[in-house]
Amino acid sequence: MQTYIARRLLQAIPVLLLITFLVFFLEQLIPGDPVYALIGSSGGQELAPSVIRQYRKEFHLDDPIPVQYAIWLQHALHGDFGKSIKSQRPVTEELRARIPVTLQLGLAALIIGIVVSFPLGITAALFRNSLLDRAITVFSIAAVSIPGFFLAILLIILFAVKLRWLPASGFTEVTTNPVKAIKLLILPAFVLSSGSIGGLTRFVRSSLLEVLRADYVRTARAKGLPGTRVIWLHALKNAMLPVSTIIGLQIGFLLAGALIIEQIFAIPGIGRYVIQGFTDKDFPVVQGYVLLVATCILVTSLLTDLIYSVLDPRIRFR
Amino acid sequence: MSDGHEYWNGYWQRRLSRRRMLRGSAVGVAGGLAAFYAACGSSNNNKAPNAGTKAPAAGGAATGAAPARTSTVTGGLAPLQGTAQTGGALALPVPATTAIPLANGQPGGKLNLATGLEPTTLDPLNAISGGDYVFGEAMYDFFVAIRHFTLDLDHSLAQKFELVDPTHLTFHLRPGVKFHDGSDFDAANYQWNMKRLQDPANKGVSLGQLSDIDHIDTPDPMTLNMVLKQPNAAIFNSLAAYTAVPVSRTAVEKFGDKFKSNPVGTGPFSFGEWVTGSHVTVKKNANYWMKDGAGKQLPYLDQVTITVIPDPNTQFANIQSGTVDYTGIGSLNLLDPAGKDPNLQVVQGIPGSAVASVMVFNTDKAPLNNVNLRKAFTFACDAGAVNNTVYFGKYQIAKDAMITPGGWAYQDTPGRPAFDVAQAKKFLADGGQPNGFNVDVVVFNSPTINQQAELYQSNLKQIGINANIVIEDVGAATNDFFQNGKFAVYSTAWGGTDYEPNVESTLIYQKDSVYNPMKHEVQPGLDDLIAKARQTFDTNQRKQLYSQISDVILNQQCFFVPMVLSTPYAAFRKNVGGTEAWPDIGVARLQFLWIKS
Repeated sequence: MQTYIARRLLQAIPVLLLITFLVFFLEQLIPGDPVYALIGSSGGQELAPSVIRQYRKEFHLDDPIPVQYAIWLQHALHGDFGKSIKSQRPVTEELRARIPVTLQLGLAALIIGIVVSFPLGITAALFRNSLLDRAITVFSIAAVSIPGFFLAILLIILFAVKLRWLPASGFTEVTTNPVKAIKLLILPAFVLSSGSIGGLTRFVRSSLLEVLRADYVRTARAKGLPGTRVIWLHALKNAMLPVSTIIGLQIGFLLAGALIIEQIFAIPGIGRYVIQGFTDKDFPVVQGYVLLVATCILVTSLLTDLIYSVLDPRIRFR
Repeated sequence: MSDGHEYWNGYWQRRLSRRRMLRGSAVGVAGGLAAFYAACGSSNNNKAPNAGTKAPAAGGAATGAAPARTSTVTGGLAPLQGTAQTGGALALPVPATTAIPLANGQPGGKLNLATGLEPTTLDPLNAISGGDYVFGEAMYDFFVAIRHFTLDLDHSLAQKFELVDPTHLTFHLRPGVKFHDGSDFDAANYQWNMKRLQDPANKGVSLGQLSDIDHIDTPDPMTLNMVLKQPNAAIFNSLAAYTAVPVSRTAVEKFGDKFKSNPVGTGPFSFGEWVTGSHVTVKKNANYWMKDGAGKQLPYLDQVTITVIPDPNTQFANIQSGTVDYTGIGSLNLLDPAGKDPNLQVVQGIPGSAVASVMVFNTDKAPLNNVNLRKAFTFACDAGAVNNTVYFGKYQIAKDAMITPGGWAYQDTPGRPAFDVAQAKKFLADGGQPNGFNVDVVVFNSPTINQQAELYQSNLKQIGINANIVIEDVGAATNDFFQNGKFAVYSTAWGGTDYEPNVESTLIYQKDSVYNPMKHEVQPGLDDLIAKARQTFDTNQRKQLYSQISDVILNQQCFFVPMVLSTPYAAFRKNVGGTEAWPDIGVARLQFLWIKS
């Protein structure tokens, strides 16, 4: 097991390098100049040429792109993602302050996704081809299909403006004020999880249906075991194996979805931070974000594989 | 007139410069296109007046045609004076304005303000983002604050000034002003502040603007003698910038680099907390020097929380649901529901303070390297149709260069290109292309910019000009047009007009301007004219010089032609008082707001 983990971690290094390298160079293809963006946002006329020269020098903007990448990488390897060109604040500090926010949102969305999709998927599988199954199918497809930003606006209008049950936007840490935090999280977490809910529901349904057709389930039923016991102990546990992989993959989707959701619901997470970074062509911000998210996804993927072995003792890592 | 009345009347007339527009944008607009909002920013978010609008809509009509006041300026060499008490001696034509009712608010209460952009820093020195001002201004006072309709000196830390000669200014400071940390604001402090602003190592945003200041002497604690390297009548505008407000030396020395998140000023509110990405809270400065017209201590509010909500629809949902008390109206769709909401009051900013549509030409680039063809192009474009179709007829047609309507330098530019098909055809023939021509028109990717480009395209088609619209990302369009010289014309928007015409002159019109795509003089002699206007202190003479500059830009060269001007709006909850005195919305002049019990 340790050898496997070590090998996976070593494999992650070139993957991370490749990702940061690709993103860095793709970023250069985006037209525009970060210092030009600075001039624009400052009202232009005030930035003295000497200040512009200082910015260019400080961020190595006049160096060849490979040199810029090498400098960034050198610092990144020491845990320093550099300073934001715009705010001049350390990217590492900014990300550190915002990671818990996005984690809180992502975790809430994941919980909502699982809590909603599992019962729906199981119900749909058990009542296959019934009206209930079709209704759940329609709901799942709608959940996957409706764009998050649109659903967000609808829910804000309904629950915040019309009914006034929930706040329209904002964020509080759960540890600071749990009730307020949960109220603030319900809408964004639900919207963020909507895609996952639809996908997971369908996946749980199909996975369970497949298992329910398996010989060992038929055997269990033939032995006279109660239906609930067959489903919970025999069918569902096996059906969860592929589902666990999908849940692992959801982490990536949740992080990607957080970009939009954090913007709409005014949540100060890393998604909103990087959107501003993209707008300003603030490449230290974008690079820091990419490296962080790529690492998260790789680690999640590894954890998912490890959880596999817990769920299915037949799986052994070599 | 009492000190307070003087202030309130003058307050209506305060400038809404590019910076202020930025602040307006920051309040009202989602942060996505922040950089471009300043440089060539979209003003498309501003809205038409509606039933809920309180402020007069005719502010833009105020022009130089109004009666002139007596000027004491004699050839720009006689000593000039300005004081808050007398209204100053820099007399200029006064536009017709509506007097602001005297605020007589109730002390206490907390106000929640929503804005679109996160602050990058709370240190004005490096306040590079349009969003920074909204947060910072509550905590600082301007060194000078000028009423840009009249050029009178407003209430500010400099209480009075004298122009000894074109390179020597004497400022008399307001006595008894203290920073939030208890240290004194005096001449020595401002001298230190100026050194800090002018130190290249600090990368101050105002560095370029203050480069004409040679040094400052401090003959006594309340007097400053400012020596300029060369005459610069626009220096007051530079000194009035947010990026040049005085900060506490004690605090800067104590916090060092951390001062940007531990700001200490002299303003109406002191710093409370800054939660990254979320909000900034400021608390009442009980020792603030300013009082309202009735003699009540300002500010009224105990606390203000400025929350970052990037999405304009979410901002609006928050003010509708009551979690926010004040926000800019940042989307075309929101003005109407805001006006109909019985819990909201909508306040209109100064009309014409931003540019919703402007044509910028590269006068070197074929086929528009012929001034007659540029004129034909512009005369063919129906700005009125754009205003009516895209902006519901609520904006106004531009008639001057980039000068705010109603500002001291504003005047209609006779003969400037305006929609006239016959004239367009005449210039087309004069340009040697009577049957028209093909041209690529670059625009940045925005719904309203694209809509107006399509309308112009259909206008141009009528006289045989086939305009091929090239839509690019905002950064790409800006770079391709201004830096790479790839296109002959850019149909775009601009973040704001200005009361001080030197701003646009140096930013756009000069040969080394950032936004001059040719990178040479627009017309021989124009740069000298711009320098002369900047160095002339007699405001009437300055106005004439800027009239000549506008004529070159609009008529003789047809280089940078504003088409449609826009207006900012903000929404307040009904229980917020003091909004009558809020013409320049988006500016966080929070000391005048109060919560009705």
